Amino acid sequence: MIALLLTILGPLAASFWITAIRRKIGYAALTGSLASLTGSVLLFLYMLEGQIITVTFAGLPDFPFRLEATELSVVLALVVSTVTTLIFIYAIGYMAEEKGKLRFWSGISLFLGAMQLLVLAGDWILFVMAWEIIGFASYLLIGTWYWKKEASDASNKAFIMNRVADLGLYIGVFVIILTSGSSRIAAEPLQGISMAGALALLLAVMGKSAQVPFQSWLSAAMAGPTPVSALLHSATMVAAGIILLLKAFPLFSPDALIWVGTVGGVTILLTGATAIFSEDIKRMLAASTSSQLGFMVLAIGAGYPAAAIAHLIAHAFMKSSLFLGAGIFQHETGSTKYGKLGGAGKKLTLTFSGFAVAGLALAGIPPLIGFWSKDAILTAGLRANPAAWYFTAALTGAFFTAVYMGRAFGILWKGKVRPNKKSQQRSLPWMHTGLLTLVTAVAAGGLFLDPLIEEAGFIIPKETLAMISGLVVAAAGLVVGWFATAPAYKKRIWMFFRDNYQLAGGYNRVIVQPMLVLAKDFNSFETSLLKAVFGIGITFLAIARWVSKVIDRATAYVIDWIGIFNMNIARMSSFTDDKGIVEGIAGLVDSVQRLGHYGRKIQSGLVHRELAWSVYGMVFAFIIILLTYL
Amino acid sequence: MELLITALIIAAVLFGIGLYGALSQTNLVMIMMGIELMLGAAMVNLVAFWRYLHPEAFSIQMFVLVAMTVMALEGAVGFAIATQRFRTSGSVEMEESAELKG
Repeated sequence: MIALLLTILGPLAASFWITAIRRKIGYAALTGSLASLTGSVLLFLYMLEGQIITVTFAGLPDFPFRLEATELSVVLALVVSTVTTLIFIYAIGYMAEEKGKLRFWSGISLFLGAMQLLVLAGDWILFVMAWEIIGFASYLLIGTWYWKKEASDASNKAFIMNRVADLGLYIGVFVIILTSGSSRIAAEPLQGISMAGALALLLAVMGKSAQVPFQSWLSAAMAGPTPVSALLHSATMVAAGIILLLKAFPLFSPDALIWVGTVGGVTILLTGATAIFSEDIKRMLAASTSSQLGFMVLAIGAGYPAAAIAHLIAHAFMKSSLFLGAGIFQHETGSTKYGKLGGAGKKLTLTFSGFAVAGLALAGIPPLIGFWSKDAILTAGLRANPAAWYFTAALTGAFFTAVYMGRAFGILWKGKVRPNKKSQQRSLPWMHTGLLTLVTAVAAGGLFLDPLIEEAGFIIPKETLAMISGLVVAAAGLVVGWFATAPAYKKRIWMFFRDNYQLAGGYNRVIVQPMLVLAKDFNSFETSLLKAVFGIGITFLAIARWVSKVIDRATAYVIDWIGIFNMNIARMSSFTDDKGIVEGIAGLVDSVQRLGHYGRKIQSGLVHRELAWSVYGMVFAFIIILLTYL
Repeated sequence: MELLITALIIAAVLFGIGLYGALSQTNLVMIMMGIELMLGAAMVNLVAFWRYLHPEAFSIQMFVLVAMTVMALEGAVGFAIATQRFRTSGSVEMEESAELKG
């Protein structure tokens, strides 16, 4: 139980320290994440002993809050805290050269705590709470550099689009609670949920995991600092949608799973194409993240959550390594545009080799971790129904992945090296520590993926056909990408791909502009309404003033009259007082005195006579009792 | 049942003697002795009712003990008053002590 609380509360305490005390903020956040890591490692050790830790505490009436360290949750918590700790180490170096440290560190610690809460939540209400907090943390962190218009716009965009999709989560959770009568997240629920409920949950997944058509917020979110992109917008926060699907998977009917698979497949293809035509390394990685999350959604749609978990873990390590590498290049050249990044890889060979290993893993080259997880998804596609759609989508997606990674390598390696030979960055050691540890995990992770997933209670599907086809496609894609190194594709059709398929201006033109016009109309209508109301008000005020004057006079007259009348009554009553009441009181006093005079005679002052009186009283009481009973 | 009635009769006789003593005597000590007799009669009643009607209710015994304690205290206070009265006026005759009459 302490381990469970440490995992969640450690980072939250760090966040509190950072906002309240504001000293040593980077190290405080690192301590928080280490606490979380310790907690999740302890949970993992307990789990190996076969111990499932559950904490229940009072929540809503009849729906207690529950934290449950199930096998799946513990494995995910371990991955989250490991990746986060490494990214924090990197971020100490990265943020040393940037502004907005306070906001960054407090937000990212808050995020870590909430993410662990989400992963370990054992009931849907707590899950919704955690979901909301990570959404809020994402908003804060994208807007770390809120003085830049791009960043504040991006944070608003991310928050609003997520809000729309989050409505689906609320509806879905209501449906779950109404159907099952309990808010508990059960591994083997008694009954599934209706199609509408499943689609509502899918909507929430599409928003949080940046699936088509909500993918554009993720590209915009790249305006935040690179560690934020690495942690929230590739490794963990966007994976919350996948975690939701994993937790809700037992509730989904086969009909609903087909929809899930469709969303995943479409996203893989569309965002994969976006990534190929990107001209900005971070936006390329963002589109790639959507695409890879599409792979996971596809695998769940195919009915193989094991493949999705494997890819979730592998992707967390691979994509955060890629982002960390991109962050170092960004500091070197001052930009994330491909046009300026040309040849940066040759100057920073160590960073480039780390980036390359992670990229090759993402493309699916053995024996790196990505090969195994992608193979699992291809196998899931082969075994799914209809296999043609699932397998084709996954295989094409794998090809796209290899192409955009190959293109990134080509641009980073082949461009001209810029004049200043020596790197000017001071905090490279921190950044390289984080990056290279993650890359080691990417390189060696393939060995541990199978046992880890088995610990989580699943078995990764494997097939030779999937392995061979995946490898062929990856190699072909890398070769194609290596030669397609123009920094930007200017034709309209490619721009269409690049800009997230903004038909007729995208959301901005289709939704935002009409909304603004509508709002303006409403505003002018309201202004005129306000004027009319004011006019009516002023007229009434004048009338009221006149009426009040008249009433004032009349009232004053009436009150005067009443006053005089009262005075007369008072005069009369004072007269009666003097004569009547005083004499009456004197008479009363006199009679009481006389009564006392008679009463005195009964008192003798002699003890035995008083005793006799009490005996008379006793006899009297006795007679009354006798009479009552007879 | 006869035993209960016997006990009640004894208690009634005791009470009557006590009442007569308290009313007929003018000496403070004698009056107090009458009162003590009446209290004793009441306690005989209590014990008899406990023994023959509710032998399982021990709280009645407690009540008797409390009453006995009160009796002892009452006796102590009463004799203290008598002693004090004797010291100040030289007698404990109640016919002669009517100073408190208003």
